[in-house]
Amino acid sequence: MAAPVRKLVVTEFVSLDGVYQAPGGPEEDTRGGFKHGGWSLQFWGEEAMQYKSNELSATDAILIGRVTYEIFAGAWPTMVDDDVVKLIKDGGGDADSLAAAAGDGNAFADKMNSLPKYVVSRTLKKVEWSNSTLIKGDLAEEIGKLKRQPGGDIVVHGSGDLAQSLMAEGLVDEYRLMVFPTVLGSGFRLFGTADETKHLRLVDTKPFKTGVVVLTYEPTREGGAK
Amino acid sequence: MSELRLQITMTLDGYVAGPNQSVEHPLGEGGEHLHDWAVKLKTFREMHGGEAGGETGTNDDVLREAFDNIGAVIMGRNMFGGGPGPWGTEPWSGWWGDNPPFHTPVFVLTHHAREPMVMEGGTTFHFVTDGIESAFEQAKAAAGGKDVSLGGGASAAQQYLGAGLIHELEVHIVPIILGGGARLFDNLGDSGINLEPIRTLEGPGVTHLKYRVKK
Repeated sequence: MAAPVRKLVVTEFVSLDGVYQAPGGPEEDTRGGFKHGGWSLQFWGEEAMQYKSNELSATDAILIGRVTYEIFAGAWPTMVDDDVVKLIKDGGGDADSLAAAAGDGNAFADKMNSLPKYVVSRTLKKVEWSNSTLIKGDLAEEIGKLKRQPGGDIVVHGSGDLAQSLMAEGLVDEYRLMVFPTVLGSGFRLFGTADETKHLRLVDTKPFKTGVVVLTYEPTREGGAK
Repeated sequence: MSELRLQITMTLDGYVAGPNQSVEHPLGEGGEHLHDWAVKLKTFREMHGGEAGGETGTNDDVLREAFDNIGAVIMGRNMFGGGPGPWGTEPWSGWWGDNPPFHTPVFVLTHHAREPMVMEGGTTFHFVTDGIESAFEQAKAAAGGKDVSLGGGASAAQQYLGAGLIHELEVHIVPIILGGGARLFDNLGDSGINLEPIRTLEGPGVTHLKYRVKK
């Protein structure tokens, strides 16, 4: 009997027009002169925070590209959960309920910092964020190895270029898109152009009171993950 | 007051039609599956010539509501079809046969003037050459107090979205990644559009996200 293969999940914050760039702050990612950084913050609330807390609890490893690594590694090591609450409150979100959802202590930031991180980059020479490992070489081969190791869900955050490569290679087992009720009109989109059509299966629709909707999809058999 | 309502099916990656639209592929290559969720519904069948039967349930409720209280329709030239440019000597009369599924006045945005075409079943095509605002004014006047539906396609939707003329937007997201074609949210400038969520419904194979456009 073949050993179970770890699930690779792509989890993203996207605007209704499919932009994933810089949801969390104006300085997060200004590539291309992007002006809408921090666009997700006003729509955060208890349900969204609870959802992300649950997701993080079920995460066994984080897989990211170079740009997201640099954003995360520049922020998380010195963050505490109260900083997340403040960030959201300053951005217009409902932060009072967040403090309750996040619970005591520093569980969220601690988990981000302690989880194994795999960073895909051709240009980085080393990675310094705690428990990070650099992945070079053939993507399909390296990710295939990772998926065959024992463990739980491998979760991709942000990392648009990497997510597109993983999709193209058929390596994604689940998509979780948090769709925010705004159209930005500019910014990098999660889904680029591709040669072939992929059909997915809608697994779940989860609407939150703030207008955020979480859409969960799996690949169908013919377009299924390897 | 008449409102302008846009109902449109969009792939997960944001397309409302595939690439290379043509007479053979009115919705572009790969776009033929966009409306799979709708064509089997009871309401769809009724609107398209009264064929009996069809599925009921959430998707059908959504589609019925989409047609409800609509007194006129606006569509772009590309959706009406017949290629770009002058109409020629044997002018195109739409994709829908003698009895189109609109059953109201339909205002087609075009650069090429043409006499109105009266079809069976209550549909009359009017051809509007003086812009999107004028088309909306004419459609409102014809709607008799009911709302106006913006039928599409992508370019017409973008123009009305960009001009801030749409009051209500319902996007039916289908689980397809098309990889190319005509995007709904494109050419809108950089100012963004704020939306107020009205409701979210999941039917078999499609999620219906309904918003009001904040002014």
